[in-house]
Amino acid sequence: MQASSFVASRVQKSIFFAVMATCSAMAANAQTVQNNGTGTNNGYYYSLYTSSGSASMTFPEAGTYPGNYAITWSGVGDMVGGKGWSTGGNMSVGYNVGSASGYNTISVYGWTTNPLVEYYITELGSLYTANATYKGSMTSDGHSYSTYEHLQVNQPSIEGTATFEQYLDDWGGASIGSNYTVTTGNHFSHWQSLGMNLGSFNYMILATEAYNGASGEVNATVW
Amino acid sequence: MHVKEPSGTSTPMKKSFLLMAVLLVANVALAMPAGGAVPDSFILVKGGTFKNKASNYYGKGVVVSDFYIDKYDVTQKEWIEVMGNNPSQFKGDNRPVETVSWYDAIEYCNKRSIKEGLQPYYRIDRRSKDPNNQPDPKFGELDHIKWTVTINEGANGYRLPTEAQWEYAASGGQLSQGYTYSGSDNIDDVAWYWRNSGDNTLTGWWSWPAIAQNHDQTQPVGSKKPNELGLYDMSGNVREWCWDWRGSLASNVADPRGSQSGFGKVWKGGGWMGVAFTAAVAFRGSLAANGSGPDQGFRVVLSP
Repeated sequence: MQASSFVASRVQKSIFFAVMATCSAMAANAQTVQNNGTGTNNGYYYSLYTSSGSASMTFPEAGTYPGNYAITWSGVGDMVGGKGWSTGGNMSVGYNVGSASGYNTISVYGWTTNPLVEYYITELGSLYTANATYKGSMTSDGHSYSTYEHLQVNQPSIEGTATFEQYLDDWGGASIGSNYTVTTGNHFSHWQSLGMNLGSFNYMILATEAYNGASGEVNATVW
Repeated sequence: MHVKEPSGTSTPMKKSFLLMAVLLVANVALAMPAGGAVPDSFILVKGGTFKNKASNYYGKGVVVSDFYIDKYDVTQKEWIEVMGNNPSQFKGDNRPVETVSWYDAIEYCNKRSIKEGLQPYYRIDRRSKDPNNQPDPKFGELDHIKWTVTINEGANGYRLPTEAQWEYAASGGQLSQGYTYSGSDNIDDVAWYWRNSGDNTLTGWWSWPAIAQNHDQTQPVGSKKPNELGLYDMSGNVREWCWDWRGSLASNVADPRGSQSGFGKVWKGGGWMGVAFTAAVAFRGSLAANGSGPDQGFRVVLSP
């Protein structure tokens, strides 16, 4: 009796935990972020920002691919959203953009503190670099990137209004539906060789950005 | 009519209040209108060495003399009365003035002094580029104003606190309880900063897009708890300009005024936009003297 009870209990527990895990995964995957939010989903950090207009972020395939996310937006002044890591650094960022339209750039995006630096490694689309300083080019993961440096004067930062730099590596040639890798350490080393130093890593995400009243969608996965 | 206090708790409570009252009288004299020079909102800070172990100056042999300091940041109402304009992004008479450069703050001090019959504390030479105002070693020339501002020694007018004065007052002076932030170890008790200064409480990582979306902004002065000296918003709300060029900290000296030269003026206390560590009494920020932002304000001090 005790044995059967024990077995029954384990089975019940297994079923219970399986149901709970499924519900939890469903809940996590059913999560919707409207216009603005940060948090974690299936072990990945996410962030969504919308300035005017509207945007909605979901995680439709995250149960199978934990790094998956989708965003739709309409008439946005500016929208930046994506999924990645709460602490960036030297790593191989894998990604696949399954579909995308109406965007300006899709980039590995992050920032460091001390010194305060905001950086972009652009994989699809083209960065606005008209007011940035061209620093040369570099090759990584089979692509050639143009490197730019841009000074942000009296702009928002974690310390409040501050003067800091943006580092930009611009490629933009990735294709929809293919797997790619961004070896971030190559970019960081290249920047440092140019005297463009980095500090302590904060979050790093595969970010989609759209602006100037754009409407569109993206479905992408990072790993 | 008397309200009887519960027996058993009255004696220790009375003792506590009595002790607090004695300490306050001994260490913090409310500014009196004697002489007519010191506004009611100013507090006399009794000088001495730093008691707060969280301060950069603790144990460094730095002595601060007595001085008066405003309990509040300079408000937009006060600014408008003196300057006739309002540069602030977030409008409200009782909110701190912001988006003011260090030069703006210096001008305010002198104009207010003149308006109230005091001797201007600063000499402002707008034609001579200050040779002590150096280019930023990383970003080059950020400040293209570079007025030469010197001190009119002995003048009794309004002035910016030195970094040492600011940190001494923020640390609680002789009444310090050793707090990390000005008046508490719990930042939410005393400071408006990025997590609590908007529509909703923000969690997670600092994110400017999220902060902007949450309408984070300045708040009316004095709307959080004061510190041990009765000073409000020394941590958070707006960052506060100090007189000093940012450089090495002084030691074994009375009333230090900072480095002789530099490329950034010191700000202290953190603001609504910044993360918690910037609101700590020990945090040292700096910005080019011509820099400004919607989180950059100041408060003023007077000589005793």
